[in-house]
Amino acid sequence: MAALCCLSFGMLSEASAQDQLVRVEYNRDIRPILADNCFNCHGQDAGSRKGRLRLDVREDALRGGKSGLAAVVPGKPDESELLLRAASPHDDEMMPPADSSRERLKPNQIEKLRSWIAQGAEYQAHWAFIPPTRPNVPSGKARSPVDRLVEAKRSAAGVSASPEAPPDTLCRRLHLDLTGLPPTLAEIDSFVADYARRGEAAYAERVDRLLASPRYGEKWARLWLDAARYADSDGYEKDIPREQWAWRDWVIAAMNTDKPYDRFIVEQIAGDLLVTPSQSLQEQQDLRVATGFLRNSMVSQEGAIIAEQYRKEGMFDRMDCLGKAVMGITLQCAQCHTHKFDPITHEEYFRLFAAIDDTYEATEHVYASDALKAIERLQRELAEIDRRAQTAQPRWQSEMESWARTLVQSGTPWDVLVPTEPTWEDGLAHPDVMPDGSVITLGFRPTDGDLWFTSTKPLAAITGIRLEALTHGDLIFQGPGRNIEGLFAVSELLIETRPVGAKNWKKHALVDAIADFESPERGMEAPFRKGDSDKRKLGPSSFLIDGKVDTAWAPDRGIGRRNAPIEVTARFAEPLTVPEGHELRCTLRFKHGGKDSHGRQNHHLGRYRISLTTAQAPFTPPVRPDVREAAALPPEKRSPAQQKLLFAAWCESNPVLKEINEASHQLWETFPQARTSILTLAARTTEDARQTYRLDRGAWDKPKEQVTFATPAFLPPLRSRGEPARLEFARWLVDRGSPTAARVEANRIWQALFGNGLVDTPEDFGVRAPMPEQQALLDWLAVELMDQGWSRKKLIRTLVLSETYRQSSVVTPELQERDPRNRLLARGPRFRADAEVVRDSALFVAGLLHEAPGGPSVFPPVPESLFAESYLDVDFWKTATGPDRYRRSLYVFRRRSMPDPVLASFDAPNGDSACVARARSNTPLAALTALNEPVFVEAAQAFALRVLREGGSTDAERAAYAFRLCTGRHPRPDEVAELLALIASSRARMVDGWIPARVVAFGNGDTLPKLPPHTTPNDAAAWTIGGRVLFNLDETLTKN
Amino acid sequence: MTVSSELRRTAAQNLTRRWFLRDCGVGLASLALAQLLQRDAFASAANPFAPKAPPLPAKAKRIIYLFQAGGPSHLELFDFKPELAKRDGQLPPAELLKDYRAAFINPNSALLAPKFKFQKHGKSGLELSDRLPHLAKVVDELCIIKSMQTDAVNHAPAQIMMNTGSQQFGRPSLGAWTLYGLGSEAENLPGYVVLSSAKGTSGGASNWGCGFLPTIYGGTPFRASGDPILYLSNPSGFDPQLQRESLDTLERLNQKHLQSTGDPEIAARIQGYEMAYRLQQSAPDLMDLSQEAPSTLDLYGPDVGKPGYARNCLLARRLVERGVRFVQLFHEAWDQHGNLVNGLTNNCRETDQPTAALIMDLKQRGLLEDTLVIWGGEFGRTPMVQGGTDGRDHHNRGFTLFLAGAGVKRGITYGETDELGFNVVRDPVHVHDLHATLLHLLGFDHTKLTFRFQGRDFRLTDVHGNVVPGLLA
Repeated sequence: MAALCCLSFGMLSEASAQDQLVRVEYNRDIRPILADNCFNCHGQDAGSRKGRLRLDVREDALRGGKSGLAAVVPGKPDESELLLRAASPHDDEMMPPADSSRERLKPNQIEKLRSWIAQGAEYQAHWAFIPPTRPNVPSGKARSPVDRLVEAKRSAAGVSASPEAPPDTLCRRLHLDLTGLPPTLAEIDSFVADYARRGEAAYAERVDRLLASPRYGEKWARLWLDAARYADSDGYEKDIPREQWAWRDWVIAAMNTDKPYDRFIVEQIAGDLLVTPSQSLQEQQDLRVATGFLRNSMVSQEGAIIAEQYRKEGMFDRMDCLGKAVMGITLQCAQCHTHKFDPITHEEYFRLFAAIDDTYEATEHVYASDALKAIERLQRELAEIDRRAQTAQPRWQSEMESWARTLVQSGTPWDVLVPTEPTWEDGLAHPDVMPDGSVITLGFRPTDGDLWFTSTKPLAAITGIRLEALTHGDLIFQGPGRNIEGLFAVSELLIETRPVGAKNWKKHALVDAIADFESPERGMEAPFRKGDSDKRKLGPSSFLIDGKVDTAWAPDRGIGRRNAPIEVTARFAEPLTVPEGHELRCTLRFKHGGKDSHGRQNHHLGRYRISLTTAQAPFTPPVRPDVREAAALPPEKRSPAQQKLLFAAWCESNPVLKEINEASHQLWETFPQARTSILTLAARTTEDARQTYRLDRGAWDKPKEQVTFATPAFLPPLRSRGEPARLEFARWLVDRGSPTAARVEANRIWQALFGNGLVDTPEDFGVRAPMPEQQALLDWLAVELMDQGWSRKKLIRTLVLSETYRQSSVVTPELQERDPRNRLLARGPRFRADAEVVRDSALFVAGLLHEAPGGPSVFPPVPESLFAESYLDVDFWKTATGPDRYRRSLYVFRRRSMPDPVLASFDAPNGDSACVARARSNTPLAALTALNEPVFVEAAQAFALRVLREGGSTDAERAAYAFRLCTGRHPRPDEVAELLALIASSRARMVDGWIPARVVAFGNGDTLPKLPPHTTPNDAAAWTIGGRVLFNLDETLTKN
Repeated sequence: MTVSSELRRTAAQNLTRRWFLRDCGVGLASLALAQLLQRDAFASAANPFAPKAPPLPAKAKRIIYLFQAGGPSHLELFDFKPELAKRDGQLPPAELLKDYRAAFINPNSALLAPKFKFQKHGKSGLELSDRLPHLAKVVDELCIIKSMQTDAVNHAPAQIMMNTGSQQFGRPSLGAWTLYGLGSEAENLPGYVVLSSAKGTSGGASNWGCGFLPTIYGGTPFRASGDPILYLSNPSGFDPQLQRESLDTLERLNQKHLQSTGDPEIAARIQGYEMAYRLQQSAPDLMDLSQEAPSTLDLYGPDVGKPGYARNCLLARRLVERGVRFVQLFHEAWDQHGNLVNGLTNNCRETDQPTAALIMDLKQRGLLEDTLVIWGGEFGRTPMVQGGTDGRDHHNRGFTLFLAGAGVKRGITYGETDELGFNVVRDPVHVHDLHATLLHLLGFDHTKLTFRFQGRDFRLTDVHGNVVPGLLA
């Protein structure tokens, strides 16, 4: 836009004069005109093509469209229909059409087209779709190729570089850029002295030290968190808090260990597919946590939603994010139709979509490192116990197999009752029937209510019923329940019948419930307990059929084993018959939820299946449904996990092994608690595989033809290694041959350091993106990134060591006039620091910053009035007190619908969608925030005490010290004088009683902090006032 | 503001004016130079809010959007359906339900008769529910659209759709587009102010977000309690003089730095702090209802003195009087899956009088001439019952919304739903059409108010929308 301004305000004539001298280039000069004005109707999207004319392909342009007239006749502008139409004064023939919303081509654009056709109308492939190669670096004085490339452009424009910035400015710039925090005064002093003495070596040493600091990861992770739309809540209406910080910590660690960028991307898209048994549990867990990246999408928890609709929304968001953050291609434009400008078709979009579609939206436990070690130990000890069992029972194999056969062959025969239309009371959720006849409920989780289905299938002499509670990859921790642990509590199972059309149902009593595992009777606990008078009970399977809704069947095998299927069988008191013309209703009644009505305190059963039998009681005892499944397989078809499961079940059934079983149970009791959980993508099982379809117009419920994974034709082909599609897709994205992957990342790094990307539109390297003026530089950086093993630290090091980076950011009016956006890089970068850096810097100079790495996000103080705007009661906001209040802003809780007012006013994105370039606004709201927000005020108060403690005994000394703490430089005398005038005036007004010093210095708190020796509350108040001004200096808020 | 600070401000502007013209940020490329230079000091250095003349003749200068979140029942309030009463308890005709999706209920649920009586009012003889006695008094001002349609049936996406023209989060809201296109005439207040009552909305902050437009164009919520604008109050112990002196010192130091560094962004920052100070001065004045005549307070009803919808309606008038371009009230209370009779009765008791009062008040002051008032939610409700006999589900195929004031016809209804209030049978108005019409009233061709983002020119109406001439006066 700025470029546009320049053009319209003065460079127009200059530009067109030059055009006639220089050769017109399709990429630089012509494509932007055609893309803006013509491709919408004459581009690659056949669906919207007018007059059968296509202008983006040379042959088609030469052939012309319906009219039969050549749009372009190379060398002959006056015979080219394109030019005649564009220049026509007549409404009925001009292009773009007079009645379209597009404006006429400008005279200089028409001139460019004319020159281009006259010169032969050569087309070029779009620069960004050709893989970068290392450009020729011009010779020159500068050591760094970066500087020589920059200098070539600069001198061509007749502009010279700015001198190097003063060393203290450089020091602050480096610290802010590499760690997100300003340097201490000691660090500035040592740098200035060392740099004067040893020059380059001192500079490089400081850079290396900062790159090695753990703060580096906390600074640079933020870039990726923006791109990956990280947030601590689900978004949409309820915007419920989610646990996703383990992924955030993974990103920080990846930055700090300088995980190569290609590996960084592959792990985030398909880390779970890289897991092998030989890895430690920590390695395996890290790879799974990495896939939290794609799950940063919003999740709707609104009542009555159709879960699949919002899963698709999440998928579209993932594609959008990959397009913006990794590919630099506006993929989402092809969601509803073939891309209007870039060569990606509607079908190709969905063929990419297919790569990540066959996944569960999983929730997994995340353990602390020592817990993982404990689990590894536990596994070794359990294996040892298994070996003991096998030694004790040398014929275990054949015994187990015969036990398994008995289980399968002579068990009670059960017939699945396949539901037709399972229903949640009031339509609050929309359950689905799976191919195996089980019912799964995703989406909203009603707190209480009935889940039922009816069947008109005639039945006779039914003696028993079986309810299987089943796991599924889309359920929390795989279920089978949907509460916070993946557990459930079914208050009652009801079987009723009536003649079709009759009003009342007849209930059929059930007796003798037995489950394969029983938990004892117990009361309700938080968060489900509804106060002291809550008499509801959880307990054994008998509670399922006891006719009382205040008792519920709620089995819990205990930590480490609870997320497993379970089954219960019961007998009909009287055999059940459902004659023709009658219907049966099977209801699961849930009355054990908590008080919250937003799904957070539900006790649902996520997936279940009902079977019936006509067998004579007693039935064979229930077993874990997955054990029965394993038993039914021939031994060679069982997975190692199934084999283990079967073995454990056999041991359990074997009274001879009582002691060994006891030992095993005791070990399981020691299974450690998970530290947190994470939303991940997990591969679906083959029997549960999802087919992907092209969705007509991108509508979730309009599937058309089935598609399989393939990469778009305009990008390099995939070299298949026979790996799963998602993994191959991930590797392809960051393949060395990718034209955009390295450019996008190099551009992102450049943008972070220099304020603007070399490509202005970091999310879009497509044909509509403005040609980068420094394309050679971008390509050099991209190739350098790859050649250095995709090391971001090395690329950052190269950039901050360059002379270009080290220039002073002071700008002369002439240079400002000539190059307002600093495209020629004739001065150093200067721009307001990011939200996090602004807040962290204030805390840092105040001495308040609490540097603790990672962990759950912290809740900063926010005005109560913010909560009034929340749809969900904000009962989870435990405002941090103590050191946590002053953690780095990276760790501030990000709630999507309630953006943090401090960070938002400094343009931090809220995570609704991928953000690869923050706005940098300058609003009164930001000013009010930095002046008055409690944490900033607390920082000013702490800053005052620090200045009194360390800054000398006179206000003049303190002024110089305080100024330097905030800006990193010594103030000039006139600046000190300004500050002193305010201090003096404020002191006078304190003495006169106008300003309550204690309140200013210490707030309204009951306890006063200890003042430094020989200082008074008036001193503290004066320097709180001074500090508040210094925190708000443009220079303090800005990287200079 | 002191004279000296005014002078300093002008100096900063002069320094940055040239820069401003060259590199002024978004949206100003099309701004006529002459117009820019004619404006007073406010419309200057780095001020992206500078009022801009719309490209086409405009009827509406500003909008007050009374967003009734949750989905008010058109069938109980505006769109009387005797046939629905007759067919109470019957199943809807099968052909109506083809491809139909409600949110909660099985579409094949029984029809439910309207709960309230309707009566004709005013010269126009428009029919309104008996729950809206106050609106009945201004019925001749209303332009009631009975044929609204939207794409979404869940709250959050439907609210986002109504406010941004897309179900996807991340698009700019109508208010943000308006501010982007027109700037603001409020020199001491934000150009787009949001007021909320009842509970938080399903769409949350995205309802008034700036999307991909620059942050400054987003809505600024005024809070019902505490500071009306977050962090408006100075820290404890800072009196106005100390604040002024602090800001003067800050400005002088920034000014010095501007001189030594030359970065025009510093001038913009100086402006930002000055504007913050002016906000601090003007916001308390805005909130001070004691300046209002007792008759005015009476007009808005007994609740006007406490935080809530009535007070917000009065504040809306006070805001537009002060030049605020876009005021949006959110009242999230209309989701009557059950408790239809009592819920609606209570809602109407809370909102009917203040809504009518706002229209009357604006008219009395001559503001209705160029102020457009919008009343409506994100969708309507099903003719079919939900639960027992006292609830309705979400319904997107036909619902009611009304306009009043600048540039729209008065005392008319537009469009029609079928005899059950289910489908639109005449003159459908899709959300995109409404947006196109609103932009038209503000002086824009909705296809030309665009913003380039990710290589594409985005607009409020995406690739849809037609101005509805039948609504225009």
